Amino acid sequence: MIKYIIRRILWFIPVLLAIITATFLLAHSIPGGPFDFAGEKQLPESVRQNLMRKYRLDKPVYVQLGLWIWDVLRFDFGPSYYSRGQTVNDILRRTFPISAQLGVLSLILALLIGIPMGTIAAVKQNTLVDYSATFIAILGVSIPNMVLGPLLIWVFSVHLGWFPAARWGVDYTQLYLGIFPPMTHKFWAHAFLPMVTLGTAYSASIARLTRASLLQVIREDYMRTAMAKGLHGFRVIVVHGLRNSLIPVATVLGPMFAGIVTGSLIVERIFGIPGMGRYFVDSITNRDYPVIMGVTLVYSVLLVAGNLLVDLSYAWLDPRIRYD
Amino acid sequence: MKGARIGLLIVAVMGLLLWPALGQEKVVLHYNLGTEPPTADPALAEDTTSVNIIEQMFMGLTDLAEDDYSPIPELATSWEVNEDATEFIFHLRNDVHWVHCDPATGEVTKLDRLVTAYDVEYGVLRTLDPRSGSYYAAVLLIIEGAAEFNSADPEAENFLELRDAVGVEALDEWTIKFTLRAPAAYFLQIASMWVARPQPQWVIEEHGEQWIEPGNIVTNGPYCMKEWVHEDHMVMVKNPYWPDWDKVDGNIDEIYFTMVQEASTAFAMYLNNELDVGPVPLPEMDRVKADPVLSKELTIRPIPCTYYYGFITTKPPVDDPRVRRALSMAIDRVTLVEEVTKGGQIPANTFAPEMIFGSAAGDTSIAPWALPEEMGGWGYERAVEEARRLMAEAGYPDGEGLELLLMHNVSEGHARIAQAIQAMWLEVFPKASIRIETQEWKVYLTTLKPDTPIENQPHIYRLGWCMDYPDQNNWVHEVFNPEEGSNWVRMSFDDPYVGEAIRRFSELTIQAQMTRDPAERQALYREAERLLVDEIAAIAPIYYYTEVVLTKPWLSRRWHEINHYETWVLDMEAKMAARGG
Repeated sequence: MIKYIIRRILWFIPVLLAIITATFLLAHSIPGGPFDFAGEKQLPESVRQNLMRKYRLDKPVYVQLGLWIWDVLRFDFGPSYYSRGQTVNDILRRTFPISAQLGVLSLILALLIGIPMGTIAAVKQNTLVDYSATFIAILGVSIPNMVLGPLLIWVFSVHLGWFPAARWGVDYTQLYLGIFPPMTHKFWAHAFLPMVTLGTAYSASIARLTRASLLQVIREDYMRTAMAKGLHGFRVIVVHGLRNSLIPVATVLGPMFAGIVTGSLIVERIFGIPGMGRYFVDSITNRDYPVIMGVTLVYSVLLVAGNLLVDLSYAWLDPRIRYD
Repeated sequence: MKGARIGLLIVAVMGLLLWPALGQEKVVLHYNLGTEPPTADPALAEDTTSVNIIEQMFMGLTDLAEDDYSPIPELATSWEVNEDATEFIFHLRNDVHWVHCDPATGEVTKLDRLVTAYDVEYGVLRTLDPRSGSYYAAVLLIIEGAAEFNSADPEAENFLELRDAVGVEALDEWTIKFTLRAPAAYFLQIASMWVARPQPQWVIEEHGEQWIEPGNIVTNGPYCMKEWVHEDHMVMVKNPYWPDWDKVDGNIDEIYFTMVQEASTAFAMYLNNELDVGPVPLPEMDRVKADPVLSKELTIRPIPCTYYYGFITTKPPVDDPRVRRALSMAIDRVTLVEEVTKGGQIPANTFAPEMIFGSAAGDTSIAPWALPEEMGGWGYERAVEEARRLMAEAGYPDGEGLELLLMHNVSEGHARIAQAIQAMWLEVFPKASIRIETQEWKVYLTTLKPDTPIENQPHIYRLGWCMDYPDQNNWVHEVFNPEEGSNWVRMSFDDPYVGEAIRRFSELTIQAQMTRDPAERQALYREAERLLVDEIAAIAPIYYYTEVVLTKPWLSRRWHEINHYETWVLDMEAKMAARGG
C-alpha cells in the first residue's frame, strides 16, 4: 500500500511537468500579447518593449519556459502582469482559502443532501418518494447557478432581509493558519446563500448517481443473502449496499473536489466573493501568463491528489480491491 | 469576575446607545468600485477604477472643472505658457503636506514634508523611466527627450544623461517647468492626469512596488488609504490636513469601497441599503424607470465616451465613400438607443462628444443625417432616402452585390447592437449580404491592428473611445491622424476618392496642436470632424455613452468626470434610520 502511494506520488512529477509545459505553450500561443494594448489603445513600441523587458518576455520562449519551471520548483509563481505590484503567490494565498472554504462547505452540504436523497429514492423505487426525489434532483441539475443565485438573493436578502446580499464574511487577513475562518455569525450569514447555490447543484448529481448505483447493488446476490440471513433491512442497505454503491460517487468526487475548492466563477461573481474562480477566466482575458499558470497548476495538483485519494478510497469501499 | 464582566457589558451597551447622542458619528459612504483596482500607483494606472482611487489620494497640477472639463488650478495655482505652446511653467501652492494613515487606528499624521515641485519632477520621471513599465507614459512622450528616455536601455552608459535631458525641471521648490518637443496647447489637460502627479520618492525607494499598500503609502489628497483588503474592500479616511476643506461642502469622513463585479448583485445591495450609489443592470432598466421610488433616485448623464463603427477604407466595397456614407445614414440611432441600449445614450453625429474641447457634437452642418429632426438633423426617413440614392450611385442598387463583414468583440451588448444595425441595413438595402463575426477581445484588437493583412480584416468594426484628457487632440488626432495617430481605418493620402480630404484632415489636426487661440482651434477641429465623419466618412459615430446610476436620497453628490468625494454631502442620520429599519 505504502509502496503504491509512493509510486503514485512520484508519477505526479512528470504529469505536472507536462501540464506546466502545455499550459505555458498554450497561453503564449493565444493571439494578442499581454502588453499590446491598454484598453482599446495601441501602445507605443517603447512602452511595450519596457513592459516586455520588465517581465522578461523579451527572452526566447524556451528560456522563459526554463525560468518558469525553475521558479515553480521554488514555489515562486512570479509577478502578476495585470495587478501591478502583486505576485501570483499573493493572489493565490488570499483567494484560494476563500474558494476552499466555500467549496468544502458546499461539498459537505451536497453529500449530506445527495446521498440520503439518492438512497431513499433507490429503496423506495417507483414510489411517490422516488419520483419526488428524482424530480428535485433534476430540478437541481437543470437550474443553473446564475439563475438560482440571484433568485436566492432576491428572496432571502432583498425581500426577507435574512441574509446580506453579497460578499464573504471574513477576509484573508482574519484567517487562522491562513485558511480556517473564524466561525462567527457573520461568517455563516454570508456563507449560507452561496453555499446553498453551489451545494444544491452538486447534491443533485450525487443523488442521481447514488440512486442509480444503489439500484444495481440491491439486486446483487450478496444483498439477497444478507436479507435471507434475517438482517435488519436498514442495516443491509446502509452497511452492505450503500458502501459498495458509493464507488461511482467516489469516482466523480475526486475531480469534483478539485473543481469545487478552486472556486466557481459564477457563484463567486454573483455573490461578490473574492475567491479564485474569476482568475481562471480573467487571467486569460488579460493574458496574465503567470496567473494563468499559477491557477492551472493549483487546480492540477488538487486534481491528481484528488484522484489518488479516490483510488485509495476504493480499497476501503470494496475490500476486494488491493494495491500491492 | 462574572460581575465585572457583566459590568463591562453594561458599560459597553450604554456606550453604544449614547454613541449617536454624542454627535460623534462618523459619516461613512458606501460605494462599489465594481472591481479590484489593479493598482493605486499614479505611474502605473491605466484604468478608470485605479484612476478613481488615485484621484482621492494625489493632487494633480491641474484639475478638470465640473461643468466643461476645462483645466483649473489644483496643486498649481497659476501657470505661464510661451507663445508657441512648447513651454509650460506651473507655480505650485506651498501648503500641501504629505500625510500617512495608520492602518490600525485610521489616524492621519502630517509628515514634516510639503509637496514640492521636486516631487512632481520625480513623479514624471518615474512614470517615464523604462524600468517602471508604465502604459500611460505614452501621454507624456510629448515632453522633450521623453521618448528617448522611455525607450532607453537601463543598462546603457548614457542612461542617466538621457534622464537628465527630459524636459521637466523643478526650477525651485514651488516652480516646475515642462519643455515640449512640439507645440501642445492641450498640455494643461495632460497636467491634470495621474501620470503627472507628485510621488513620494523616499517611500518608493524604501518599499518598491509595494509602496501603495496601506501602512506604506504616503499621500496628499483629500482622502488617504487606511485599508486595502484586495478584491474585498478598501477603506479611505478623510485627510484633515488637506488644505482645501474650507472650500468644499463635503462631509464624508470615511469611504468604504466594495469590489462587487456583478451589476445585478450591486443593485440588490443598493436596494438593501448596503450601498449609497448603485448601478442599474440593463434588464432592470424599464422597471427602474417605472418605479415611483427608484425613478427619482435615477440619474442618467453623458460621459466622455463614443461608440462607433469604423470602416477599413481601403477594403472594397467600403473603399467607396458613398458606400460608407450610405451605411452610416442607414443606422437609425434613435431607435437603437431607445429600444436596444436603453440607457439614455445620445445619438452621435461626430466622433468627440460634447464635453471635449473642440467637439462639434450636435452641429447640424456635420453629418446631419445622424440626428433626428428635433435635434435639427434630417430624421431617419430622409436619411434612408439619401442612403438608397448613394448606394445605387455607387453601383449597388438596393444593396445588390454588396457583401460586407461586420466584426465585434464577444459581448452580449455589442451583439445586440450589431444585430439591430444589421437588420436596419438589410431593411434599407434588402439585396445586400451582411455577415457578423465575433472575436475574443485581444484577438479582435490584434485583427484590427494595421499590420494585419487586409484580407483577414472585416469591412466594418466596432470600437469605443473614452477620453484620456478632454481635448480633440486625444480624439481625432491620436485615433485617426493618418501620419501620427493609430489610424485603424487605414486612411491614406493616395485614396482615389477622397485622398485630398484625407490630406487636409491630417494637416488640420496637426495645425490645431500648434494653435493657441481657442476659437481658432475650435474651428480647425470642427472642419476635421466634418471631414472625418461626413466627407470621408471613415467612421459611423453611433452614440455618446451615458452613465446610469442610482443615488440614495440621503446623499447629495456632484458630477465631476472623476468622483470628487470631498464635495459630496451625506445625511448620516437618514442613512442609519433606513439601514436600521
